[in-house]
Amino acid sequence: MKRCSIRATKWRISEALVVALVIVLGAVTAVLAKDDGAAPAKKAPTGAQLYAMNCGRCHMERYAKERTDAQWQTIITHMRVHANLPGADARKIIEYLQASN
Amino acid sequence: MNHKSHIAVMAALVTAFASVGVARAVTDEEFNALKLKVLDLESKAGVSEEATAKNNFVMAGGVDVNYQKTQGENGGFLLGSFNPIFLLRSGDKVLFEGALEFNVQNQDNGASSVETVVEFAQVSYLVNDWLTLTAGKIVLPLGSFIETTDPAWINKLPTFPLPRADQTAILPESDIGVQAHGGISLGGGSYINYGAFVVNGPGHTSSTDTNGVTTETLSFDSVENQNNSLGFGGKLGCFTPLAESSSFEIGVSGESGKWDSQGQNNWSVLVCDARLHVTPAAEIRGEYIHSSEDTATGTLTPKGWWIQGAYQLSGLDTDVALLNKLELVARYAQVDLDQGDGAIKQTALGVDYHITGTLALKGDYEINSADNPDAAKNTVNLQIAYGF
Repeated sequence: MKRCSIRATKWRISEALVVALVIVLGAVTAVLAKDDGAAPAKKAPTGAQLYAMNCGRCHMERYAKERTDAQWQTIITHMRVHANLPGADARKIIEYLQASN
Repeated sequence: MNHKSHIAVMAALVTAFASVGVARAVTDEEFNALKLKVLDLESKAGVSEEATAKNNFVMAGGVDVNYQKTQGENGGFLLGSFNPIFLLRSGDKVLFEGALEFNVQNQDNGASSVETVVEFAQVSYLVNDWLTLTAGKIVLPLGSFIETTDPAWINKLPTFPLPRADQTAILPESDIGVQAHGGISLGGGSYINYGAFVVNGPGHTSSTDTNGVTTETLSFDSVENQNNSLGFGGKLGCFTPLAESSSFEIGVSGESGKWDSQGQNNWSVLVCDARLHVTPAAEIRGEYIHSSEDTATGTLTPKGWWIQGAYQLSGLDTDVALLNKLELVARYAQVDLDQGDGAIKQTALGVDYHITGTLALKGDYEINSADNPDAAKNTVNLQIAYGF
């Protein structure tokens, strides 16, 4: 029983750490957002910016020349389905990659 | 494009090459003239860029080769997996995605065998900008790790976090069913992502002891519905850019369903995930996973969490080429399967060397701690991961 109690206490500490982490991340988020004056939220990002923020947050850069225009449309549609990207943002990314191809 | 058209285009190409002369460099003017001639012939043959763009097949995927040395055991190479992904797009609205995983492994008698797994095989219909309907063996939107980070060339460490690793996973990766999902733009690159799914749900494996007593054990590997109940779940998340080069995303997701043959015992899971990109080179992410499993003797609550920090040294903005290809990764994870063995804890310290954007050498040292001595052995992992 005592051992279970110790484990339960450890888990409560772990859960408290996770909650603390979320709070810290939230605080950092708020600070970063404040520093930037929330300006980006009002500007429509370009295809290049959407590519950097949506693709770059998961993996290293893929180069536009790697695929044909039609293949990019297929691959970004695949990414849209998996990452739940909004359709308009996905189209801008496709246009950016095709224009850079 | 029929056989005659193929021959016509080939003949034109041969003639064109002959006309410009293969023994000397082709000028830009000659190249452009040749390109126009080929496009003209393709057009006459019924092949256009538009037709090519409407239907398209792509094979993507990855392969990883590993070397693993566990404390007190022999080290050796492993073909981690070979994962081809087949993508077939029909127009702007329909996409089929099929991912296979091939693993080479030893059987108990020492002979080798190949394990083939259909990781996912789903067809999606993109209804509009914010709604997609998907059916098949779908990737479950529980957290964001599997949907976005599963391939070895993307995962920053050679192994999965404990709550998602094969031997200690406390939630499924995919299941057969249907899902409505999508992203709703909030402007400026921010969006809400959501998903609601109905699937066969968790199942079980059965074993019978020498007294003829059959015991059922929760399993995420079953693909058929093993009772009269389906599994339901969903996800709600948000992504927002914070500044020019930083972003934050957070999500809550879960699933619930009956897992035993009688459809009486419930299983459910709740996942909270978050990821912060402080800069393009620095990332912090993690998940908290809490599940609940009714059994004949009571309710178990397997749970776990992990947090990972990674920093690409290219962020230091130095001229040293080697440093620009290195990434440092640290991950802490723990999982408690609630089977009386207590929590397994793991600290992983790793280094990635990105030879190219899709080819990486990765290595880590994993310090494990657990009541079970077998789970407490430290491990060295080396991995070559390639995405294509």
